[in-house]
Amino acid sequence: MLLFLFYCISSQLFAQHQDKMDMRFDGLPLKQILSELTGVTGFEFAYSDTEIKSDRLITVVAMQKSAEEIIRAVALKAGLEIRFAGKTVILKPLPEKNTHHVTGIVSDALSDMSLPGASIALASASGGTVTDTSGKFGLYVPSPISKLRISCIGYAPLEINITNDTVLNVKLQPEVQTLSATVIVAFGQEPEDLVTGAVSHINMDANDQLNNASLNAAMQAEINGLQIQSNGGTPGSSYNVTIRGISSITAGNRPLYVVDGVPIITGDFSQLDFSGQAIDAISDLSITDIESISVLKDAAASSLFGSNSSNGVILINTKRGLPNQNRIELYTQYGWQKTTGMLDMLNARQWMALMNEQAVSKSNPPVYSDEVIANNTIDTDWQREIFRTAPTFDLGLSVQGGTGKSRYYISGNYFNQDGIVIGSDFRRYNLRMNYDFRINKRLSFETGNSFAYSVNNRVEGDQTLNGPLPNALSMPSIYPVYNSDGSYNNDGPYANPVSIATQEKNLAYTYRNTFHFKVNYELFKNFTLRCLTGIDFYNLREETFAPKTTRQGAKYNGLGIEATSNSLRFYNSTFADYFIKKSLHRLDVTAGFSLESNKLHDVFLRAQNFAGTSFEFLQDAATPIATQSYETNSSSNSLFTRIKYGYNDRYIFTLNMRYDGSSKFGENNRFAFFPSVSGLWYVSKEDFFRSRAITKMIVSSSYGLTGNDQIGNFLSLDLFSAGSNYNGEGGINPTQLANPDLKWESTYQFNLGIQIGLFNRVSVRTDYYHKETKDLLLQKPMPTSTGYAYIMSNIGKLENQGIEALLTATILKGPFTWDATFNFSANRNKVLELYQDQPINNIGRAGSSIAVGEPVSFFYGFNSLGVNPADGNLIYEDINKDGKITDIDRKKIGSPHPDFYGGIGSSLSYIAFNLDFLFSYSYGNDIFNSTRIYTETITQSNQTTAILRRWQKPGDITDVPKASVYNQRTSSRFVEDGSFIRLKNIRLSYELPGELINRAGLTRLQLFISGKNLITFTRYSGMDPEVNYNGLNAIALGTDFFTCPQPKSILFGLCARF
Amino acid sequence: MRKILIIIVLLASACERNLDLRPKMQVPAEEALSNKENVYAALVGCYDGLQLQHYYGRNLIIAGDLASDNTVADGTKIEYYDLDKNSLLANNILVEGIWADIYQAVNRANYMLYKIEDVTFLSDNEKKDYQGQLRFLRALHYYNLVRLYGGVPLKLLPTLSDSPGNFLPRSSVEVVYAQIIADLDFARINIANRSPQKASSQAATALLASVELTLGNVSAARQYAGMVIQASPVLESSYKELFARTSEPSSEILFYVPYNATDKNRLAEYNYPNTLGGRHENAPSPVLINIPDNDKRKLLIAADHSGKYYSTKYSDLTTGSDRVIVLRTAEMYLIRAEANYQLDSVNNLPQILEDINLIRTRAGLQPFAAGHFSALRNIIEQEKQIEFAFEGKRWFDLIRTKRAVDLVPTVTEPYQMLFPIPLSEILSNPLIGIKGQNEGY
Repeated sequence: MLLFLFYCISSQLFAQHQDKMDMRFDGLPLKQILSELTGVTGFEFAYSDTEIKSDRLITVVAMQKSAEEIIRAVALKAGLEIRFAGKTVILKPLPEKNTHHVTGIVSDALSDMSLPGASIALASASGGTVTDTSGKFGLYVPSPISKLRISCIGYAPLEINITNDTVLNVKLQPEVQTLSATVIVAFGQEPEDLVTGAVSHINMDANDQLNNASLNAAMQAEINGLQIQSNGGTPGSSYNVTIRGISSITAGNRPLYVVDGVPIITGDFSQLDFSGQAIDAISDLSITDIESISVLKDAAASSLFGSNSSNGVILINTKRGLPNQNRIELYTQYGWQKTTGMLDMLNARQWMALMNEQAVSKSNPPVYSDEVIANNTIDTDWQREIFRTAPTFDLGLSVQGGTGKSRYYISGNYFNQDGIVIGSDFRRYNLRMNYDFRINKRLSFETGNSFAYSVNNRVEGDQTLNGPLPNALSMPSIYPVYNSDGSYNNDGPYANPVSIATQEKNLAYTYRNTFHFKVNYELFKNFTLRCLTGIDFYNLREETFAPKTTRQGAKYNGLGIEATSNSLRFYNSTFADYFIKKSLHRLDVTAGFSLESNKLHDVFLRAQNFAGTSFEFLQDAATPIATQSYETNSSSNSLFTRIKYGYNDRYIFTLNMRYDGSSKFGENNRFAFFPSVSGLWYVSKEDFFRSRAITKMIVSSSYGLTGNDQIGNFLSLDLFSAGSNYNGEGGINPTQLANPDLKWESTYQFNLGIQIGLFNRVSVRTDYYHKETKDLLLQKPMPTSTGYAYIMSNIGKLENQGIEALLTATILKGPFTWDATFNFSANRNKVLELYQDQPINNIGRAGSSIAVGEPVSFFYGFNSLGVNPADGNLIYEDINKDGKITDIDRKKIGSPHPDFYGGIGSSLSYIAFNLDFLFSYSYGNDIFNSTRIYTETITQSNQTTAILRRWQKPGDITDVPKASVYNQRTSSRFVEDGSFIRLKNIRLSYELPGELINRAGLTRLQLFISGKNLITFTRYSGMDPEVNYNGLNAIALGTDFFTCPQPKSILFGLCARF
Repeated sequence: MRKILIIIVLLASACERNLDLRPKMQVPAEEALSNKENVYAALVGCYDGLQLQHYYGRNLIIAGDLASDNTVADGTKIEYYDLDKNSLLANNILVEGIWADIYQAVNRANYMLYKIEDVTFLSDNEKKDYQGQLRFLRALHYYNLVRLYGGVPLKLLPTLSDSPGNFLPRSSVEVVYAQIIADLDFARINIANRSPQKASSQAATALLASVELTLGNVSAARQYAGMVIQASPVLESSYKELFARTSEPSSEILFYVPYNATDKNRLAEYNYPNTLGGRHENAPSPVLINIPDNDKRKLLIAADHSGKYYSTKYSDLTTGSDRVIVLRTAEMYLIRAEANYQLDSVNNLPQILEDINLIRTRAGLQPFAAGHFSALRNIIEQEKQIEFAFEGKRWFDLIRTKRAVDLVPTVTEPYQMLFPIPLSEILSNPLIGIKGQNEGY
């Protein structure tokens, strides 16, 4: 569904000019084409301008062709005779001796469909033609006895001898291999079909993905095996991305992100507790700058990243300039967002009645008299006060082009999103310049430089007592927003949500600069040295101020915080590629080393006692409370190699090896070795394989070892720390015991994949995988009587296994086309070993647990058997039958892991109209709705209308127990089915006819309307099933706690090209 | 090709050095105590152990009232409710936290005591002063532990690695007390006197008085209390002033834990009602609310804010800088009164009444005259309850006299007078294990 064709020369073009390349000249003067070819191929052309009419406009498409083939194709198109003389090509018009006329039709040997654009060339001399839209051609050939070579992209070329025939019906056999796109892999790229590891990839089409604010959103539900959980609906908030299940308990589960070859800084550097809306360093990347993404899922694909690879790797390449395609692109869109859901809360009258009943049941007089109830005029719907219809706006401009020698891609993006909760918004500015140049045939450079600046105006959310949403849901409707004098009313038991949303300042600024510089030098034939240096600088500055007119501010007489995190990464990888090809054998070797160093510097300042409400910076405060700075660093070094042997593109065998050292680990285990092996068999290329139905069949398998080093720095050392101050004096104390044996978490991964193509229309890829992670980095509990609670150690084991399937089908072709995709992932996670097999309990608000034999972070609590009609209390299952309900009576009451999940998408187009939609789904996962602990148990908080069903007198049969602490325990009462299917994206576009827009200087113009999260089917009673209050914590999953729901949105926009 | 190999080999060797990073925020332990300044800083770090949040930083003080009849839980945290109801589970956050924090402080003191032996740059007197302060702190830690949990592992050496050699079984109560007394006897003699936020000979003697009373050695208790009273007999004239955040602490205070904006405690926040920006986790019970209004102490113990009662002894919500008093002279008078009562309630009566009435008159109450014999014991008990409410002492008095069963409605079984040994200790210390749990849990 590419709307704009990609005029693409592989970004590796200069480096691989001995290789095949893609080239497309669209209506350019012949002269210009020839001069570009000189630049790209090194061939000089000798010709006479008048003789060959060099200012003619010519269109040539050559995909995966050598330089010589491209030149022949141009000559063929231009009707010229060519002669190679060393590095010079002599061009002349064809001699007019071709007298024998041949006509014919070229068609697909399997489907009998005609093939437009097939080329028919004379084998012995130059000259030829291409077939028209109906596959027909006509050609004069020199004599009755000639040899014609017929070729077409995607088909095996065919040579035919012509004797006296004048009409030819040529049938070409499809050749799948040449259809294959290239995929970025670790330290290089490979043809899609010949990748031995499990790699999912997408080529981003800028215009398709416009209505996603960040990268992760774009991948959500488009790649299988990748679970992307949105943590909340606040603007700029992060996603929890896991590839093939959770493979670690305490050392992160975040995949490695590699942009243009450089592993970039990711993660949450926020020093303020905004847990459901953590800031993710990856969200600084503008999605419109992305050209392609590969997700490396198994050991074969990722083990070249060694100790960073256990969680999978996401490779991203940004767009680069294309020669001869100078163009300007503009896109913009504007839209509105609303919350996907609200809770049904009690109104003022219901609330007062409830309070009265409660009072009467305790033999107290009613709180509100009938008169007060009857005359009450205040009935604030707090949700309506804090939720809003929020606009979002996006604008991008890019300029790209270049010549054979230098190419550029420059872009700027502006993104502005207001949050659906008042007081929150996000703005981001991106600039990028990718500039590539070539000094000579051997030496070329690639550079990329991007800058991002964003301002995230947050409101406190989940998990805090100060968030507008938790307060809005908790505040009874009987309190007004404003007092009669216009000031905020603060009479209620909670902070006024509108006041905190509008009066508190919570800003987060990010400044991000990434730079990379790559040198490619061809030392000798087929041997290229590459040196890539990258710098990633990330600065996050948080600034908060709560004036004394807010409840939080009042506590401190005004509270201000200024926190800065500076993260700097330096990366270098130097490696060489070599390949050798002898008849059907091909050997590729890549080897090199990489260095990485990281430095993090934090400053945290907090001050109180502010002069007034309008002075909001720290110098306006009388009492400094915290003045802290923090610095830490880490480094790693690696040697790596990949050896790949292929025979006839049918059998491919790859061996990866990486040797890693990291400063994070103990001196006894500082280095580790990460190998992987993989193989591929292109079954359908075998001679014995003859099937009209199965046009492609590939089997691949891999086994290998990957590592995870996402733990803090210096955890292996015996340390004293400062900061234990007393009485105004600085103190130090022992804080950590040494563990010189500390090492990586190791994951052994097996993968078996099969790829099947049917009728060139349907493609299915299925993978089975098994991952076993051992030496889990866990805090080994120590008896606290030793003075330490734990020591970081390698203990524990867990496994993930699963099945993934991706089905793509072209259901209809022709003027009306219909493409569909379906992806499915099912992962089973199981903990195999823990320290002395002791469960780790009480994690997060769901009281989640990690225990042997169960998936990581299942819900653990009391099993509620329903409400006892006699006394209104929940009946908890008495598991040990001792007549008492104690901690021992807890059991597994749910799991946040889905049985399966994925996406269903379709793209329909008819002439200039295009309709895309994508559903994402998740089945079988539970949500622990801990919001209900507060909204369905009568306290001073407002309640949902579910409370109206509560047990009131003996004999009542209901599902809502009476209010008591006993009924608030972590129990299955709050566990709900979190399955959902959601219309993630829908987009309808129309492309204006060329003749209409050409006059305005445009080459293309597309208008679209799109929607996001418009429809959701779920039984979940909370606001949004796709939330997690503590998203960055891999072991507190599937828990809703006053979490901001995701927005649904409608957007209008246009894309234009000049 | 050879050149490339050489480069790779060179780089690989450079790599190894590149991995030997030193933390900038911390110091390797072997270098930490290498000079006089660092040793002093480490001593400061030992005092800092008192400020930990489950210790004097908040929870020990709250627990000392909440477990007793003084206060009730009225906030949101379940661990306080469970303590209030005296139905503690072994994994209660307070049970775990108080144990872990005190043992962390013990380990800091042991670390210093262990290392200071070999230090060459301190004079003998300096060393003895250091050791005296450290042993005072260690005695205080074990005194708190043994009263809350019973016999505990008696760690006297620092933990230097995770080897099981560092794990100890529970010692008997007697052995723990013997160590406490040994430490305090050493401290009393060897500490140079200094201001009350640090250990002093005076404080060590005062602590001994309390220890001996707990052990039932009433004459020793009377003797030590008398020594302290003799040295600093004056009570602060105004009860309220004791808790004021004046620049100089009242001279009645023998030992306290100081706090400031960067080293804050959250007692005010946990005691104040929500409407004043607090959490009300530790609120006065009806016993305290019903103190007569003419008692000047009531304003500090059960102030009224639209029907919500709360203590104002700790009142700095903004920066949490309230002092936490560990020992003050008033307690010495009440210890002496109780000891005198137990020794000879008839002949000692004038002295007993004199001591109690000092406290009572400061509170603006009528002094007691003779004639209340039958109730005298209760009067001493009650006076101490009110005088020290919200200072975390009531529970220890009630378990010392075994009166908890009579006075705390939720204590129905004697086993409830001890906390359970924390679950984490039981699970990770095979020398304690499930068999080492306190009876009843």
